[in-house]
Amino acid sequence: MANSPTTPPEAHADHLADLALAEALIAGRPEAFDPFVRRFGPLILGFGRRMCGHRDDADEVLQETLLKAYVSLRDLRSPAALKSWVYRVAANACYRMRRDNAHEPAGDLPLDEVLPRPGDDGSSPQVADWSDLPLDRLLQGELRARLDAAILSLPRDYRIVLVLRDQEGFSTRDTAEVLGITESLAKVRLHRARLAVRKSLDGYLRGAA
Amino acid sequence: MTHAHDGPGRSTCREMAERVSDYLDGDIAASLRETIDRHRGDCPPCEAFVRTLARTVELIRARPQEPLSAEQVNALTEALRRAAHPPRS
Repeated sequence: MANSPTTPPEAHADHLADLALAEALIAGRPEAFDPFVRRFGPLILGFGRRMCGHRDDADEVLQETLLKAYVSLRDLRSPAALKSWVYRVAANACYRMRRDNAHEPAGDLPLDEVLPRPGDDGSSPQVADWSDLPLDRLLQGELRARLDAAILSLPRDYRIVLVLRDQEGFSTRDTAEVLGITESLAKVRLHRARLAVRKSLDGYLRGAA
Repeated sequence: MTHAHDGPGRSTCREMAERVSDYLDGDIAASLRETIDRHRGDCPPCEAFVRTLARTVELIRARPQEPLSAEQVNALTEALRRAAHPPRS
């Protein structure tokens, strides 16, 4: 993760802790294993769950990621980049797992398909404003499930950008770096993924607005 | 997004639709931000669109935590120890 004057203090603290953790792991100090698991275990389990949708798959991603990330630490050029490194390994594990899934959504997300449609006569689209509905109500039960399903139904190249950027807290630049894509492509995918999720929620919430 | 009533504003609707994530993320030139701010005031569908997209991003970010059990922590830590020092055969 690149630090800047706008980096939040807690992110800076994580960054310093990751540097010390990476150096301890590279030095072969076994007392670093437990903090490594506690630091990245919950993050990668959540990431795997959001990418794969199933707890069993997420458990597999977690185990594979922590072991591979540790074993291949010698390939890590900058110990300070430990978080990006671990997520890069996790992203590869998710991609491998999803290749075996027959239900994996594929393809593109054209912009016009995720924007509100104008009327048949060319009139303005009717856009319901459900943004004032209370957050706690929105996140209860069925809506949480719909939100998760909307994210899971995204093509994986879009879903992984959305998950890294909006759920795992990476900057757009770091998201692009983790995935080995350009920042401009990451921005395009993030935008369309957000629009697709908005469209899915709109179908559910417009009646409640 | 396009609006038949917009006339000259039609291109503004489209430009806003293409850049609204950058707008919400604060990753946009000041001049375009001002253009979009003005447009939102004049175009109710675009205003609702921006507001609901902002709400969507907020909901996406409110992700649930996935805590590890003590058994998982122990099992993973042990797996790392074995990887560091594989048993001799």
